Parts: sequence; structure tokens; C-alpha cells
Amino acid sequence: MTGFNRHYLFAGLVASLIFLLPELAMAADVAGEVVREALPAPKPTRADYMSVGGMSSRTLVWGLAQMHLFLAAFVLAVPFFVLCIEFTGAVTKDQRYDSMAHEFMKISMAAYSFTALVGGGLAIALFLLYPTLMGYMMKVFQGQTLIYALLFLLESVCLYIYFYSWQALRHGNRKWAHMSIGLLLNTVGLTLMFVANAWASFMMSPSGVDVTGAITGTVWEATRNPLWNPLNLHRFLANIAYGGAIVGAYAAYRFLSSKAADVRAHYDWMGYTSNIIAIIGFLPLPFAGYWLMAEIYAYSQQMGITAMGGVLAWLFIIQAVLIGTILLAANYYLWCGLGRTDRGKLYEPYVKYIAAVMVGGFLVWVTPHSLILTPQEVQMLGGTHHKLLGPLGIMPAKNIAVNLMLVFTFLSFQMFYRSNRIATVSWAAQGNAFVVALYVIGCLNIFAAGIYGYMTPTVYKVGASVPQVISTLSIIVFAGIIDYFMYRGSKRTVVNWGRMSTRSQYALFVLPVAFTWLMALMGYIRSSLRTHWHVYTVMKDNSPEAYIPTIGQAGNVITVITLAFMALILFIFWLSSLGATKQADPAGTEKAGASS
Amino acid sequence: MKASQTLAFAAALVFWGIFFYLMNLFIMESQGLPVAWTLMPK
Amino acid sequence: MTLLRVMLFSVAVLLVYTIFANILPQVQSNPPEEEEPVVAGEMDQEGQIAWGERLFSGKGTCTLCHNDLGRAPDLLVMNLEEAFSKHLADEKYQGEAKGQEGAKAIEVYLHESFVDPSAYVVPGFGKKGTNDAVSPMPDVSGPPISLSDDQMNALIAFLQDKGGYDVTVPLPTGGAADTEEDEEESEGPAETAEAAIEKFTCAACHALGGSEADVGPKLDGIGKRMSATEIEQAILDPNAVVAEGFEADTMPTDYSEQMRVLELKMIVDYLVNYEGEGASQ
Repeated sequence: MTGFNRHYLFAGLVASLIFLLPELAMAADVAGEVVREALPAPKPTRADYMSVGGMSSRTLVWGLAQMHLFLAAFVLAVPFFVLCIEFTGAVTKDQRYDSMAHEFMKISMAAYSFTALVGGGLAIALFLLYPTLMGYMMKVFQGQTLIYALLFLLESVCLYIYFYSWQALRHGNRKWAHMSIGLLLNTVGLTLMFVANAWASFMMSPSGVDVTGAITGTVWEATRNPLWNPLNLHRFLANIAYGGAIVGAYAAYRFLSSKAADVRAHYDWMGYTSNIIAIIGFLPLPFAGYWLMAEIYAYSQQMGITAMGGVLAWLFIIQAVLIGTILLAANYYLWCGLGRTDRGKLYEPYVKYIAAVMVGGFLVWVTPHSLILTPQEVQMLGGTHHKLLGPLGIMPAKNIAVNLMLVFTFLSFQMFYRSNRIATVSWAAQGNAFVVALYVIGCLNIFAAGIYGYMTPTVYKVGASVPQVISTLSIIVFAGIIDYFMYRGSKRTVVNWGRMSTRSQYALFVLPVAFTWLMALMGYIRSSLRTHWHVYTVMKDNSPEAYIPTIGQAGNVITVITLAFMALILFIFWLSSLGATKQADPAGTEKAGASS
Repeated sequence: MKASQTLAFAAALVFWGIFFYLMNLFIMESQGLPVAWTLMPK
Repeated sequence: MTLLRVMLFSVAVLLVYTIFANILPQVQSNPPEEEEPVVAGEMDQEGQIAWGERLFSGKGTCTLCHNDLGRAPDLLVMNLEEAFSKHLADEKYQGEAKGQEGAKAIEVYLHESFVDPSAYVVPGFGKKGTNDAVSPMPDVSGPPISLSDDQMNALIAFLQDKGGYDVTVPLPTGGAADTEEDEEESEGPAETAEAAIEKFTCAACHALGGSEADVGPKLDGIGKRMSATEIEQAILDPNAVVAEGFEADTMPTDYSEQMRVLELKMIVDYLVNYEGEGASQ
């Protein structure tokens, strides 16, 4: 076998082994099961809930949990795209990729210990303030909690080896060994997330227990509850988008505060890469979120309606605002990016149309319809729906809007991709016609499927959203494939990295701020879906804070947590630059050759 | 646009039109939602 | 300087979202209120129907799906008599009310819809892909809705009345409504004196059964110091005679309401003969 094939085989073997790891971790609990008592879930009274120093227990746990999730999402995402970039560097043999991958790792190293620290704080708070619930959860998940602890140890080992061996395992076969360590790191991290997700999703859709909460199944059955995998997929994708957004802010800041042209060029390229990572993670997210929502509806219609049609409905309007901001910022950055190439000017006339679609889609998406409410809630909210804007507020219109926004975001990316390439294949003109036709028919299909929803019964209306999603995916996939082949061997023109306005960098700051706030908002929704239950339908929440707080209250808490997180990330990034700072020797008093 | 390009575009429109129509049909049927050839509910 | 500008910009963006969240309609969703306890004899049929109507949009959460958005039949505006007759006459209907007629049949049909919604699914409202064989409606007698029999009857009464039928459900049978205390009350009286002492947590304050509590007086040989009647009074009206060295208003005064006659008798008999730990009983 050639050296190259050997590497693929090695990677393949390691990968297969690694994908077995989560299965082994989960299955390990099944073996050696002790017969567990079939006692129902506890029914805590008010007195069973602790409160410390007059602080709101729920807010404390909420703050710690959300901080932990912010940090965990970040530290799971970074190794993933670092490995991808490192891989790209190894395959293209372009040194810049490897340096960038290394830099991404370096700036995020401090985050890992903070993640664990906040996680520890969260565990302490949970056991202190909600002992009955935690006692029950321990009974359900038993040894899996110890495996979780072990995985943390394993993750630290992999992390430190992966980072510190970067230069030692730099070239040839050693590079592949290094990437295998990175793969192991990612697998361990992913397993950690899957385990923690199982606990969160169990609280929403318990399985492996009967209606009273008595344990009837194995730990694996409790793990593999209906919402586990939708949550896994959604969080996996969202992490990537989130991680990209945060490192993008770092790059933008370094760009703005550097003077040297080559340093600015470096950070501009880093910012561009981060934005691409964020978009790649972001594009499939609505579909993963849709699947999650669909599974929620399938598990319990009531839970689904509480989310989208009941008390929590307004939250999805805020979500629309945030996602609209994110898409607009990401697109704006791409449009500014067209200025890096001379050919970019060719695409600039199209920008205003894309902008129109983005803004229009955003406005449609933000429009609320009627809210399914009890008569009391209707009174409180002051009405149900607006005669004129009403039709825009229901799902068919919103699906048209969001799908088109995603398609046109991809178009922005495609334009930038083409802006430094001149196609040399003979069929370029026909190929382009093919791509344009794809966009036209695909968008028409999205529209048609949406209008269809107005004319058909509910089940068909909901069913029509799938063709919309597939249309979007088809456009992205086929346009991507066609462009890849069309621009093979293309003539490359100069990309003037660093030729970006200050304004464009602020778009990169909007991304992580909006993402962070959005993530916390979604966490608030997810927790609220359980209404007044600790474990839905199985263990009631009898604490004084069993109510769902208002959006305003939630918004305030979310903002505080976001600010704390931003401060922490600033600190983490500052640490990495501190580590690289060297104080100049003031008077040459230290002799050369003296031991250090 | 050259004539060959216009032709290519027209052919592509037809191609993608058929592709998306068949996709719609397939997706609705696979969800257990019977539709007529007009894609309206049966 | 750049850092400051970036931070201020980020804070400004955050403020926009915060303010937006605060200007939207604010709704706090509380856990369902515990229903007012229904005492036997206090609720008449009119009251029952009104109760059912409150439950429809309250604890029953029916309006979440039964409204004009097409997810479930819009019970509040449709012609119930027409609909129910049609459903019962449908040859696909194989439920419990099959072959029955009149208001009683409606009661059976409604009750069946509550606890076994998939027994008959109104055409067009089934779960996607099941061809109207499976209903998306949950069993309302179980969690998370957990309606009691009385509550379900009230809803049936409400719907029967709305459809112009006679109300055929019995009035509520009384006892506390579906609250947490239900489980304790349905436990029944303690079977032995020791069980009764444990149930009323006497050992929390008096040194009984090995507890070294000294909030209340020692009860060793209490039968020699006090007669059975006096012991009984000490339990039912603790502040009437307070033991020397102890204060009034320490012992609970509501045992007269909590204890059953049998339990009181067992405890008094036990204490009359109580010699303290170590002595034979």
C-alpha cells in the first residue's frame, strides 16, 4: 500500500473503534444490572426544597447550567473544526491551515477548565437545592454518572496530549497519529454530550419508567428516550455554529487592533474561516430544530402546542428576530468580503436582491399569528390575531421565508466562492445555466409548497414543509457539487486578505452575541416545556418556583448570564495572548547563557 | 445570451421541474399523505 | 480603545434583545391551581356544569387543541348533537357506546374519548400517517392532565348540557379533590398503637420508642400519674393542663381533627400501660 492509503486505513480503523466507544459506554451500564426497586418517583413537598441565603434556587441553577452549556458548547465545537482544518492542511499540504488550527486550539485552552469548574458548581447547586430530584435521577441513571466522570478524565488526557504534541507530531505519519488523537478527543467529547443530553431529555420525555416513575427498564432505555437523538443532533450542529461565531469575534478583534498588513491579512482570513464554519453549522440547524419539534409533538401533543401555540409562542418570535439578525450579519459579512477580490464587483449588483429577500423573509418570519390560548390568557394578551398580517403568521408563510433565507445565504457564499475563480472548463456557460435553473425551480417549489399549505387540511400543510426543506437542501447540495466540478482547475485571482472595512468586523461581533443570547433563550424554552414538572408526567415540581417566568424576567436573566459569559470569554482570550507576551529585558542585566 | 445558453437554460428548467415534481410526489406519499398527480390531496 | 468600542457595541446589541423581550406581552404560566375541594352535597347540577366549563379551559387544557385552528374538533362552536349522533352512527364506531342511544350513550362515548381517545377517531383528525386509526389526544385521566373521576364527570356534564342532552352523570361524591393529600387520607386508620404513634409523630417531642426527644414531658409510667381521661384530654386539648417545666402552645392542638376515634383509643390504652423503654409492655 502507498503511504497515503495506509493513512486512510489507519484513520478508518481508528474511526470505527471510536464510533463504538459511545455504544460501549452506554452498554456498559446494561451489563451487571442490579435489580432496582420498583418505587414510584418521590413527591417532594415544599419543605424538601432548600434555599440558600434568600437566593432564588431556580435562578442560581439556571445561571450555572447555562454558563456550563455555553462553555461546553464552545469546547466541544473547537476541537471539531480544528480537526477538520488540520485535516484540510494535511491533505492540501498548505501550512496556513495547520497554523490556524493550532491557533484556534491555543486561544480556547483555558475554556476547558472553566467548563469543568462551572459544571462542578452546577452539580453542587443541584444536589444542594434539589436533593429529591437528584436522588431520583441518580436512581435512574446509576453508574452512568461515574462513567461521565471518567470520560472527563479521558477528555483532559486527550486534550492535553493533542495540544502539547502539536509540534512534536507535525509531519508525515506522525501528523496522522496526531489527528487520530484529535479524533479520539472529539469522540470522548461527543460521548460526554450524549450522556448529559440523556439526562436532560429524560426529564422531558421519560422512558424506562412507568407512569408513577418507578424504574421498569435499564439505564440504556432511560438514556434512549424519544427526545435524546433529536437533542443530540441539534446540539451537535449548534455547537459548531456557536464555536465558529466565538472564534470569529476573536479574529475580528485582533484584526481591528492590529496595524501590520500581514497580521491583518492573517486575522481577516481567520475571520472569514470562522464565519464559514458558523454558516456551515447554521444552515442545517433549522432542519434539526424542526426534527426536534416534530419529535416533541409526536411524544406529547400538549408539550408541542405549549411550545409553539401556547404560552411560549412569543418566544419563537424572539427566536425569529435573533436568527434573522444572525443571518443578516453573516450575509453582510460575506457581501463585504466581495470587496477582497477585483472580480467581486461583478456580483455586487445582486447583493441588493439578496438583501431584499433576507429582510423580507425576516419580517414575515417575525410576524405572529393567533396564539392558542385559554380564555384567561387571551384576555391577558389582549387579543388573538391581526386580520391582515394574520395569514403571514402561520407556518406555510414562515417556512417559505426561512427556507428562502437559507437558500440566499448559500447564494452569498457561492458568489464569494466564485469571486476569485475563473472557470476554465468548456461547459461553464451551460453549467451556469443549469445552476441558475436549479435556483429558479427550487425557489418556486418552496413558494408553491408554502401556498399549498393554505389550501389543504392541517396534516397536508405540515407534510408540505418537508418538500420545502428538501428543496433547500437540494439547491445547496447540487449547486455546491456543480460548482465544485465547474471550477476544478480554475484560474485563481488574487484575494486581498485584509481589505475589509471596520464595519464588516462588527458583523462578526454581532454573531456570537446573538448566538449566545439565542442559545440561552432556547434553553429557557426547553426547560419551560416541562411546565410544572421536574420529570414530565412523572415527578411534579413542588418548589416555590414551579412557574414559568415571564419573557421579560427570562430576558433579564439571560442577558446577565450572557454578559458574564462574554466577560469570561474575554478573559480566556486574554489569557492566551498573555501566554505569548514576553517582557523585554530592561538593561541586559541577565547574561546570555544563564539558566532560565 | 447565446442561443446554446438559452437552450441549455430551458432544458435545465424542464429537468429541474421534473426532478422537483417527482420529489414532491415521493415525499408526500412516503409520509402517508395520498396525493393525486396534481399533488392535491386525494 | 478598540476593546471598549467592541464591548459597548456588544452590550448595545444585548440591550436591544433585552428590551424587546420586556416589551412583548408578559405571561407567567403557573402550575395548575388546586381545585377547590368538593364537599358532598354542596354542588348541584348547575354548579357541576359550570365547574366543567371552567375545567375545559383550565386544568383540562382542552382549549389547547379543541379550537378553530383545525387540530381537534372545535367543541365550543360546533353543533354537538349533530356531531355526536353522526359519530355514534358511523359504522367505523366500535366503541363502548355502540348500539346505545340517548344521553347515556353520549356519556359513555365522552368518557371513552377521555380515557381511550383512539377507540374512535373523528375522520380527518388522526395522527399523520395512521389513516385516522390513532388519536393525538392523550388519556386525560393520566399525567400530565390527571383529571379525577369527578372532574371528568363535570366535563361530561358540561358537554352534555351544551349539546342539549340531559345530564346523566352523578354529582361529585365529595371528599377532597385531586390534591396531594389524597394519598395520605386514603391510607386508612393506623392499625396498631405503635403505628398511630408513628403516624402522628409523637416521638418527635416525647421520648417514645427509643427517641430521646425532650421537647415534651417524658411519658414513662404516665398511666400512674394520669388517668385515661386525663391523657385523652392532654392529647385533644394540650393547653388545658400544661406539665410543670413546660410551656403552653408547644404541642399541636389539632389532633382532635386529625385523629380517628380508634387511633386515639389505641394511643391512650398504650400510654396508660407505658413503662418506658426497657420495661416489658
